[in-house]
Amino acid sequence: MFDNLNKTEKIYLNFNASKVRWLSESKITPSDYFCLGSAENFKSVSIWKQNSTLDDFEPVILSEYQNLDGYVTEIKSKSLEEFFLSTSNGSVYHFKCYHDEQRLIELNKWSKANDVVNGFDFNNDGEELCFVTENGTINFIRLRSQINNLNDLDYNELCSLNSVLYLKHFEIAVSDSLGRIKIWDSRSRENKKSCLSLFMEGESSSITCMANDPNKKHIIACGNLNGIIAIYDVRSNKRPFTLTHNHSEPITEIGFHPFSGDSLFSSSFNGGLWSWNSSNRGELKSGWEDRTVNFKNYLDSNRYTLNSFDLNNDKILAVNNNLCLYKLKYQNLF
Amino acid sequence: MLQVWKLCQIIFIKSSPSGTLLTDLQEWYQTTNNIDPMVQAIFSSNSENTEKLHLDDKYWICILLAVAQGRIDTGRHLLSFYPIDKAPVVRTINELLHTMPNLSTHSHLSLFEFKAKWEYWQKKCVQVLTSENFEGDDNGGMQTICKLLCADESTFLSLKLMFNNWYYMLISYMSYANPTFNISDLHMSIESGPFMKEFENELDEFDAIILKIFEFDVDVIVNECVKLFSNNFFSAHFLNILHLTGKLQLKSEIDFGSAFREESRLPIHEQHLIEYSLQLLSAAWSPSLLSLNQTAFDYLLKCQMDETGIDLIETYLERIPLTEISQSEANKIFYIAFQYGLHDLAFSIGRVMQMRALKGRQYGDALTWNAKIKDCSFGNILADKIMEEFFQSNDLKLLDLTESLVKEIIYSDRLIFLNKYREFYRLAYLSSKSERTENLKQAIDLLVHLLQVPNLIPFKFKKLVFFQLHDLLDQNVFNEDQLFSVLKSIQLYENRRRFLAIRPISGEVHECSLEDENSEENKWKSLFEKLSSKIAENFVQNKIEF
Repeated sequence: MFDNLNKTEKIYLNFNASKVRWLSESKITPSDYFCLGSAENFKSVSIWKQNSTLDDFEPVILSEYQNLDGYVTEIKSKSLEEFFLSTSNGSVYHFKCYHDEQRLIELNKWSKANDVVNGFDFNNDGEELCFVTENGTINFIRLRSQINNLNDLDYNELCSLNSVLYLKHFEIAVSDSLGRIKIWDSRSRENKKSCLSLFMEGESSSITCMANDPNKKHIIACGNLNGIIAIYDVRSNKRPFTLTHNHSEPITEIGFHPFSGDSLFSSSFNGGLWSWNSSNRGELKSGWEDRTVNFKNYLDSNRYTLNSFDLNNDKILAVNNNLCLYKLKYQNLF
Repeated sequence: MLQVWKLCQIIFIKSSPSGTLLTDLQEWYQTTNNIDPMVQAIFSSNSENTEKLHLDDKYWICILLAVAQGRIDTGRHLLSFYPIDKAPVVRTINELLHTMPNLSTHSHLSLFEFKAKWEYWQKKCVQVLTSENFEGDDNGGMQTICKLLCADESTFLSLKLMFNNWYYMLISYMSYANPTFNISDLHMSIESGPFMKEFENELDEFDAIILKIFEFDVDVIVNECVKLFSNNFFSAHFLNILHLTGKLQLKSEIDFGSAFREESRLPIHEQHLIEYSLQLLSAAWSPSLLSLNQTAFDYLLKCQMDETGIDLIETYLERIPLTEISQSEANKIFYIAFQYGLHDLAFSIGRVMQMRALKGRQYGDALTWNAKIKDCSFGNILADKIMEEFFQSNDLKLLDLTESLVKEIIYSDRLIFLNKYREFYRLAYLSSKSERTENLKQAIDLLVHLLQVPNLIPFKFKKLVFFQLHDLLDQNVFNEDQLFSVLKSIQLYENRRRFLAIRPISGEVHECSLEDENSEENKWKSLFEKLSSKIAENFVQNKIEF
C-alpha cells in the first residue's frame, strides 16, 4: 500500500523559511532545484540546488534576492526557471533564475498598497494570475500584456481571503476566513455573486490552505484552523468528506500526491507531516467516501510547527519553525 | 566551546575524588589538539621516499607531541622511520617507550603497585639519559624524548611553543611525573609549578576559565562563560546537567540568612535557563517576532519553580503588538496562547483583533474572531452594525456572512436573529419562480414567529421589519392567525415606543429610519389599512363567528 520512507534527512538553515517549493513545470517532472521564501521579517527568497546523486542531502544555495518588501506568503513555480511569489506587503513578484550563472532576476512586480496577499494562482496557459488579499479583494493580472495590467473583481468580501485555485480555465475557487469556498467565474469583472458557495455546517473556522486533485480538477481538499481536512466535490453541493485527527492543530499546508488523487499530504502546527491514503479496492470511480482511509505521520520526531512542504516526483521537502529543512523520499504508491 | 564542555564533563561529572584523571585528560588533550592531520601530511608528502621521512620539518614535532599526549604507538611508529644505523640509541628509546607502564593495561594493579612500577621504569629512563651515547642524534630529538620520559621540568618549559598552552603542558608533565594524579594534585601543581608563570603574558579569558574549572569554582566558570561565549547557551545546559546529576548545591540550602533578603528566589540553573531563552527571543540577528519562539518556550517551560516559565511566556506574548500584523500571524499567536493554556490572553487577543476588524469595516473577519472567542456583547454590537449597514445598502453579502456560522453563534441572540433574518430574506426574495409561493409561506411563518419571540428583534429594526411585512401583505399568503399576531406585535411595539418616549433608555431609543418622516407616516397608514382589509377579507371568506 504505502511504503516506508527511505530516509529522512535534515539540514539547518540560518533563517526560518515560510514556504518551500520545488522549481519545475509540474509536480511530476523531477527537479533538483527548489526555492525557499523567508518567514517573518526576513524578506528574502533563495534558490537552492540539491545533488540527487549524492547520498546525503546537502543542498547548495545558488542565488538569493533580499529586497522583497515583506515576508513570503506564497510561491508557485511556473517552470524550471521561472516562478511567482507573493509577499505580506501586497506585492506579487515574477522572478527568473539562471541556474548556471547563479543569478536571480526580478522580472515584474505588481503591488497593492496596505494589503497582505495571502495566496495566488495562475491558470494553465500562464495568461492570467489571480491573487487574493486580506482585505477581501480578488485581483487579476494579465501576464502577457505589455502594460502591467492589474484589475480586480468588483466585489469586496468582507473577510480576509486565504487562498485561491484555478479549477478550469476561467473558474476559480476562493477560500476565506469564515470557512467558505466560493467558486467564481473570472471572465466578467462585475460579478456580484459567486457561482457557488460551499461550506461545512458547524465548522466555520478559517480555511488556511487548498489543493486540487491532479487528475480530477473538480475535487478540492482544504484544511482549516481546527485541524479538519475537507474534500469537496465542486460539482455538487453536498457535504464534503472530512478527515480529522483527534487533536485540533491548525493545518498549515496541504497537497495531493503528484500521481494519484488517492492520497493526500498535510502538515500541521504540531510538526507532523501526515499522509492520508485511501485504500484501493480496484474500483476506479469511487470517491473518498467509499473507502477506508489510512494515515501515517512521516515526521514523528519533529515537534515544531511545519511551515510548509512541497512534493515533486518522489521527494518531499518540508520546513519547520526551528530553522530546519527536511527532505524525505517515498516510494511510488503504484 | 566544545573543549570547555568536554573538560567540564571530565572534571565534574566523571571524576571521583580519588580517581585518576590521566586517561580522560589525555584523551581530552588528544582530541582537542589533534595531531593526526600533521602526521598524515608528513606521510603524504614523503610517500615516495620513506628514507627522507625523518628529515621532514614536522617530524620531530610530531614525535614529541605524540609522546607528550600519550600516544605512544604513534610515536613509536614515526620513530621507526629514523635510520637505526645513524644512532643506535633509537633502539633503546624504542625499548623504553615499549615498556612504559600504561594505566589501562595495568588496571588490575592497585595504585600503589602501579606507582612502584612507574618509578622503576622512570629510573631506567634516567639511566638511559645519563649513560647512553646520544651521538647521531641530529637535533637532540632523542635526548628530548628521553628527558620528557624522565619528567624533566626544564625540558617541558623549553618546549613552550610546541605546547602552546599551559594546560597542555601541565597535563603532559603530570602524566609523566605522577601518572596517578588526581584533582588535588592538579591544584597543587598549578599553584606551585612554574607552568603558569611561563605563559603569564599570554593568558586570556579562555585560560582563566580552564583554570577555574581545575579549581572547581562553578560560579565563576558560569559567569565567565557567559561573557566569553556571549550567550547563555553553555551555562544553561551546564548548570542543568549539574542540577540533574544532583551535584549542584543550591545556594538557598547553604545560606539560611539570605532567605530573608530580597534576592531572586530562583535557583541559579533556572536563572540561566531563563536568560538563555530570553536571548533566543530577542536574538539580534533574527529580527522577527516568532522565529525560534518554540525553542525558547521549551526552555522556559523547564523552569518548574513557581511557574515562572509560563508567566514569562505569557508576558512575552502579551507584548507582541497586534495592530500591524496580518491575520495569519495573529492566528498563530492566538493558537500558541491557547496551546499553553493562557486562555485569558487568548481571549484578549481575540478582542483586540475583532475590534480592529470592525474598525476596518471587515465584518467577516470580526465575525470570525468573535465566533472564536464567543464574546457575547461584542457579538451583539456586531450584529447591530451589520443590520444597519444592510438596511442602508441592501447589500446581500452582508447577510451571507453568517451562512457558515449557523451552529456556532448561539451565544449571541442578535446574531441568531441576523441569521434567521437571512433565512427569511432568502426565502422571501431570492427563491426561484417555481418555489415562490411555497417559500413565501415559509418566510412569512418564520417572520411572524420571530415577531412573537419577545425581544428577539432589536427595537430599532422593528419598524423596518414591519415595513417589509407591508410589502408582503399583498401576496395573499397570510392566514388569519398570522394577521392577528402581527397586529398584536404592532401593538406591543407602539407601547414600547410610548414608554421609551417618556423614559428613554439609551441604546434603544434610536430607531433605524428609512426615508423621511412623510413616507414613514404613509407607510404606517397603508400598513394598517392593508392589515385591516386582509382581516376583513378573511372574515368574509371564512365566515368567522364571534
